[in-house]
Amino acid sequence: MLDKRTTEERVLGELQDGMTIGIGGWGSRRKPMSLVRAIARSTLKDLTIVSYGGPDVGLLCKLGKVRKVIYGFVSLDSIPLEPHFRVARQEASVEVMELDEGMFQWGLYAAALRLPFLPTRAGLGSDVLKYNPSLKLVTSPYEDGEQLVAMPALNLDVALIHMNRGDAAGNGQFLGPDPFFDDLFCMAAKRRFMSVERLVPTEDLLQEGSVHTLKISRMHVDGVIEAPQGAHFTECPPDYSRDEAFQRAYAATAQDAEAWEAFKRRFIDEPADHPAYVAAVDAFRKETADKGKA
Amino acid sequence: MSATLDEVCAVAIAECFRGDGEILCSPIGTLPAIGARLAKLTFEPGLLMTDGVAPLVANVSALGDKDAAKVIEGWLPYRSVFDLVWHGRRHVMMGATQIDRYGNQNIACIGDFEKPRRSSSACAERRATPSVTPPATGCRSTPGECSWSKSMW
Repeated sequence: MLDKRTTEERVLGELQDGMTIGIGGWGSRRKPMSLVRAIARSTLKDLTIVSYGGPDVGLLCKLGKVRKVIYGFVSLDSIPLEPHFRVARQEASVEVMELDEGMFQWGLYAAALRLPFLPTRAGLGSDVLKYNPSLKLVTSPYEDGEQLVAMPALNLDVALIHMNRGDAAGNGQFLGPDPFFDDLFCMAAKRRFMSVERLVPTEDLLQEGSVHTLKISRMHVDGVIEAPQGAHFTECPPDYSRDEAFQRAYAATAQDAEAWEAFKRRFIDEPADHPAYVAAVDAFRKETADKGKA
Repeated sequence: MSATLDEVCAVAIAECFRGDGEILCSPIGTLPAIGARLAKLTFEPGLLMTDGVAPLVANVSALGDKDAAKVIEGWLPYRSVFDLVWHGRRHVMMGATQIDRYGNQNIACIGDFEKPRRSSSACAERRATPSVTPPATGCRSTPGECSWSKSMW
């Protein structure tokens, strides 16, 4: 059997300045955060990030890794606006392509199908077209003659996703309520890397969930990383819910330079790998619990 | 008999769903959620609603009651929601950051888009047949024109 097991560090070796990187998940849900933190620690720069954005986008913007963001929203869900991304927008420190989230899906789908564009009504009559002058309209060649938005393909150099379970060959399984668009991210990308909560033997995948949960095929995955708690602090049901206390601490750093430096040192710079990060988070949780008792 | 402003709004919101029948009803925000529940429990029992995530829930539970028993009648991940929007069977009720005198709504930003004074939640999701409740906290709830116009179709 193919063995595509790898590590965050080795994935980093495949990334280059200026690449277009798609990040799966949705808002503060099932984000491949161990891979995002590896990028955050790296010297990479000028990236274009394509994401239904959450803390992946906020962190990478804050750390100066990003030249451009293509997104339908950037949210932490329980905190509606990603605070670091909000600062980046208000300081105009990143270029943006802000899309309707359905247009965004169409862009990924066009790339997945190797089409130049897909037609949609989403965006018509909206300032989406005014602020994205690169978007063109197309006229139906049939009798209706309807004018539609020609949503261009969002072609990716690399896709990063996180799944609940996977095998060493790169098959991926979601066990939560929504697969999001992770399969499209993979199909839209030249290179695809998937972290998983737990690697299991292929023959055990169906003990975890029904055949319908096997959403990611190994044909769309180049490397797989076992990263328990790999989506932390975003949610990864049914394995764990969002770490709201940690997320609040992260969000508060947008308004407090000192708190940001402490957060960055403790959770991004110092942990040399993902297990070290998990240990740092465990220590944080214990402190928070102790404070609660005091 | 008297009614509070909130109660008047809840009934007015419920009335927006009158005649919708069996379509997806997506209330976003507290008052829209109350109004939608009111409609479903009275004159529009056919409305379909999710629990805010992917499951379609047949029964109506009190707002904020996370432990309420759910009768799940279907599965509607985001991809299916988008399909449904474009199919034309979704009615969303939301509170925009701005609404102008033409009824255009804005949830993207306040001020210049290139460098907004306040960045907001982006031009996401609120497609389909929208109804609008201006938020109680909304600054500039009726500017002459929105900083960003979101389509309504």
